[in-house]
Amino acid sequence: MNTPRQASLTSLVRRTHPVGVTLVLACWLLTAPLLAQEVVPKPPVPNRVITIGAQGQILEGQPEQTETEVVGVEGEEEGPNSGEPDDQAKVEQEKAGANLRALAAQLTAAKPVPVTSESLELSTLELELGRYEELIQRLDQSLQLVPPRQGQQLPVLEIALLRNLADAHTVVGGLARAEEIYQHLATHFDDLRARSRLARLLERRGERESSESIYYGLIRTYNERPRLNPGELVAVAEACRELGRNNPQLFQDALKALDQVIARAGSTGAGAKARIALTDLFVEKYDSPQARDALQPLITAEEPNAETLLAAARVERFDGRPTARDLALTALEINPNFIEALVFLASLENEAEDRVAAAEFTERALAVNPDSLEALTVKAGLEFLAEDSPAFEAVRDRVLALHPSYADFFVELSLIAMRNRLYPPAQAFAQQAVDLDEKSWRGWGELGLNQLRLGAIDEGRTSLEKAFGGDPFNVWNKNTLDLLDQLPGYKTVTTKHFEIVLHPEEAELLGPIVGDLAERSYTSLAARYAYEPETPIRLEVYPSHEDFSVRTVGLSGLGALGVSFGPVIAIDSPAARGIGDFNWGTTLWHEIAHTFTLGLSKGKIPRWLTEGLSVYEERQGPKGWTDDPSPDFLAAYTDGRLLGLRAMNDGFVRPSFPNQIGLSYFQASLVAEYIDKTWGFDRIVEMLKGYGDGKDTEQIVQAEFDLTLEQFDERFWAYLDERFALTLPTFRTTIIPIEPDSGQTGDDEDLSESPAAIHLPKAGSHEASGGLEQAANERTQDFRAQLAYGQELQKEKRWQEAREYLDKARDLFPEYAGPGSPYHSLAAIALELDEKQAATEALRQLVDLNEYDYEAHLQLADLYEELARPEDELEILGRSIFIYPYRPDVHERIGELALELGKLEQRVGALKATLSLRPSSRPRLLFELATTYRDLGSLADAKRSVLGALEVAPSYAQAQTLLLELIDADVIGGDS
Amino acid sequence: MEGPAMNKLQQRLVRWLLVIGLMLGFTLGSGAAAPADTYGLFVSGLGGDEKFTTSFVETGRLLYESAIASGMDEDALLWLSEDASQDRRIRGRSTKDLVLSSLGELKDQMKKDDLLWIVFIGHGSYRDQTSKINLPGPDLTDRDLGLALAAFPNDRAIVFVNTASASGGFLEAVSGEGRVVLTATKSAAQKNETVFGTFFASAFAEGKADSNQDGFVSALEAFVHANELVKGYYEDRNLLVTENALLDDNGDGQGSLDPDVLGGEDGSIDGALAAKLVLGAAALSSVERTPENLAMLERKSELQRKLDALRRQKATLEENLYLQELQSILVEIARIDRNLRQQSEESAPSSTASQESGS
Repeated sequence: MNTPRQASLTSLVRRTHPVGVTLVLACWLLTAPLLAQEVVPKPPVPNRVITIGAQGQILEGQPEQTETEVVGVEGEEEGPNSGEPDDQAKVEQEKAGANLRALAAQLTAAKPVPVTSESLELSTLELELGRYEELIQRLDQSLQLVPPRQGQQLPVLEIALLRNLADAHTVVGGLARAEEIYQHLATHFDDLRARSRLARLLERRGERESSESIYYGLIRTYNERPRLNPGELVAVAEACRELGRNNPQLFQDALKALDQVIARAGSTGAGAKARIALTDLFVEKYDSPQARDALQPLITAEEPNAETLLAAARVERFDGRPTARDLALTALEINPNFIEALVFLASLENEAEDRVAAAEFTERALAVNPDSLEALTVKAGLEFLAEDSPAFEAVRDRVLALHPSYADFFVELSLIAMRNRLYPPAQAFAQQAVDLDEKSWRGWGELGLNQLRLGAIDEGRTSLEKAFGGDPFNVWNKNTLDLLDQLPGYKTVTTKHFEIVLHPEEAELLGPIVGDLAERSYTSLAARYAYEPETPIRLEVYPSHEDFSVRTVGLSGLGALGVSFGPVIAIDSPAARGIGDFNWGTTLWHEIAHTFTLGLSKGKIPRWLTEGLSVYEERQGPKGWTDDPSPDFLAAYTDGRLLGLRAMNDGFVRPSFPNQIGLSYFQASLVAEYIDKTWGFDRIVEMLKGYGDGKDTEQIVQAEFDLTLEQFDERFWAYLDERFALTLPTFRTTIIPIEPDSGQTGDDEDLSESPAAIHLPKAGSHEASGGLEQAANERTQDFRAQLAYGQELQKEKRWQEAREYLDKARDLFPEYAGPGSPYHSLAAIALELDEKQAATEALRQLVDLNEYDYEAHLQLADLYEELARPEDELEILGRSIFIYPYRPDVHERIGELALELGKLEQRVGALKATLSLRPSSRPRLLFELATTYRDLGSLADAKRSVLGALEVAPSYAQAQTLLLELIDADVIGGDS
Repeated sequence: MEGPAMNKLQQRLVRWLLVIGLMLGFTLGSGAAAPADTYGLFVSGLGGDEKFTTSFVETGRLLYESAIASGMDEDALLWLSEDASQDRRIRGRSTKDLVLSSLGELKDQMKKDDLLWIVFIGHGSYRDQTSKINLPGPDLTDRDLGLALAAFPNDRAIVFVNTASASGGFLEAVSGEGRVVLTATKSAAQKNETVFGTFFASAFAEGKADSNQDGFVSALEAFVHANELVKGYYEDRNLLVTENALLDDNGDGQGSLDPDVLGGEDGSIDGALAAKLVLGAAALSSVERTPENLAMLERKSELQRKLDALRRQKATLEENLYLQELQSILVEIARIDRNLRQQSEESAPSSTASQESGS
């Protein structure tokens, strides 16, 4: 029995991933007030007493400290005898963007620099604005490292100025000078913040032992010294966090220390620093709700500073929100030399597969500090993705020369590889991280997760256990381990190319259906791509969406339905969603297609194409599968919101309008369709091979089609114009429903900001019919006008008149079968009039386009039954199983139809499926299964089934007769 | 496979022969020569509005007709309802007094091993620690019923079914030895309108509930069937389930959501008794009660017990061994039944003639 794992720093609940790929586009800055209302204010955290324990951890037990704080560059310099905290808050409130620059301009940049509060203020502003060289030039010449004279009052302002100077040197890579200053401040003034920064500096050079010694010293100082100010407490928190790698309990101590700072300093000065540190800590532990809470007061400030904006960007990125980029760019507007923001943006661009932009940000960061480990790491990642081994090795050697045990270099590379769907290298990099530093818990975590992605379940578990042992607050690792605890209870069904892992309660039902469909898709894809990936492909099917989500992103709440890591696929089982929420068959086909396209391109295919091809491949399944054009899509096209090939990935990874991701999937599938129809499918295969060879889209399009990306786009738009020629005119016009009494006439010229808009009264309103009629009759080529009036007439039960407009609407946009489509109305009218043939026709057209509408499938099957068309009935019921497979009566009906049509093998499958749902009629079904087996000549199976029937119903006369028939005929020798 | 076609009466007779082996405690087990009698008290409660009134009467009607169709005599059935004019077969108004006095009469009328089905259809409520069935006039409480049923001797079997909302509150009061208690809800707190009752009644009207194919629907089969339909009802409509039916037949006052026909490995799980009690008359067999035939029935009972024991060991036995044992038992049972069927078929012409002339 496993003991419950702890994960969250603050609680033990499974954390959710609140957005993931669900497309929340609201800017955090706008949603912040709403969040503030929802958040229950935390009670003030009592200043807990901290003592150092046997393992070096902080323990509770020391009295609260109350003296005035000394805060350094985090905000102000305020000695024991300096001004009131309120003054500090005022100064803080005035800092931000333009105001900061204006303020800096007002201050005198005197040389030599006088030791005044004005000088301190200016140097602090310079740091915030990224004017590091200016600061260094002025202060380096003016400030001397002079030990204090005996009895001299603490030179608070000078200390703060020196700290600012050292900080600037640190940022630009002048580590020797920075170390000299920090050392001076630590030695002669016992400055805790300088000690903390000195430790960090040593750590960045790989001098871990010296660094840790200083950090432990900070904790000791805290425990020995009765009074520490908030700035000093932040330094202690930093020490706790850094030492957490040795003793994870210290992460919680860091949390406590930061909570104390906030309780005392609020959200300004050291309090702001503490909030940002807390935010980063929570993001690191995959706890975005807490991170958001921590940052809330800062982000709602009048003008957040660059650090706050970057912290917010990190939370937004974690939650999958596109606003992350904008926030980081805003931070750069304040501080154009903000290395962390530049590295962050480089990483974001890399995720968006825009490597040119990523390289630009990286170079900007390196221009500020050529030795920035983080920037060099991203640079190495770009060289790796570009497959430039010498360049990669050169950067790697440089990083390791700067910091010989910098495991995060490989951890980050692992993440870069993973984000680009390169799972084997991701695993290899993670392995290098733990080889370099066995306490790289992030490394162990990434190693484990990538092992799981590649199907090495046992090895993955071992690695994750190791990661969890070192850092039990990592929620992703915790959730994944919890999920792995359940997997031994799952059942594995093996087919020719798949190893299907199913929940025990679903294995009997889904095993055969999933296996059959997976093999069908494999055969289709292998033939089309002339390629076979390594098998067996591991296919995990989760009846709990939460479990699927954890398997995919370590947290619950992911909006996706399936994921393919290449050799491993995970999908929601149909039980994970409501009826009609998705078609699990198309999802499965889609994910298997990813395995092929990832494999053939060696994982280098861009996101837009792998998704486009997967959607395109869904069409190879039963009729009706795959996405269809929606009004939204056509409106986006006519509005010019669809992206060309060069930017198409942005539609997936940083959408700029609602539903852009969904539309991007469909658009990408049309690109695949266009290529297939224009140049043949072989070109798609060649494209994938080109990606595998390291070419980019521009090179491939040039090589395969002799076109630039822009030329390709032009032709593709022309293809769309032609493909949707009938329907597009509708979407070049905007319909805006208006209130009947608004005085608007339906004349578009004077009604709207949009010159192409027409206005219709709201359906069902008093004047609806008249207005809709007018619109429909005036705009005979407008799908929506025809549909709206047709449905209005339908409500009025004017069936034949309604049909006239609905037919027209259908003809104008025949591919639309979504909610409220003309097909739905036409079928309903036909059923109302008891015109079975017409209803059948409409429903057939509907389900051949809409693979989600369960009700329509069953309705159509009923009609086929009434019309005595068993073949069609069987086909449609079979398709309904891919939407919802849990109704025993539907399986039983399939079995009966199969019997009627002499499809005994199919009957066996249907009866088994029915039985797997444990109906009370089990004996009868087992008897029917036995007779089917007997008719197929499978007598041993027949006997086993009939025994099963009689086991529950020993007096079941027909089953008894069959048993005796089998025994008496001695066909099976009477053995079992 | 079935041999020459049999008429309904023949089929019923044969079914009785087959089911009789299951009704051990109330037929063969007692050593009585005559089969036990089955009685039914069906109570359609206060509707409150037309929709419910109609629904409650319809459910009562379905039960009544199913009981008749399964061979019960009208004299053995008592159907009470809110308005006696709703159906000529309703024997009185479903008031508390009439329900309790009817129970008193039935108690006096029933003899050893007889079986009484009591089914309440209607609304229920729970307040001040008292569960009630809403009837015209004063409501009937769990305490009222507990006292009324306590007057029945233990060797009178009772199947008590409360299909109302909050019916789970009745379970403890009416649970007892030799009793099967079915409630539509698992507690008094489940107060929403229930659909269990309609599905429960339909179990007797549709052949599908007869899962063991013996020609009768037992209390357990009806419970399982109704539960299946209740589950589908809520799933198909994407609704949250607001009723969870319980069955108790081991007298512990603790209902089971998922009873077991075998009563669990040690018989501690509910279900075994409910599997034996069917709604329907134990009609007289057309097979002569010769010593040979009785010996065959005894042997069948023995085999049935052996089968039950074997099934309880299933999880611990090697699969092939289990199947061999299973086959051996089932083949012998099948041969006994075939023998009895053949005898029944041989006497078929006269039975058929009498049935046809009588109908």
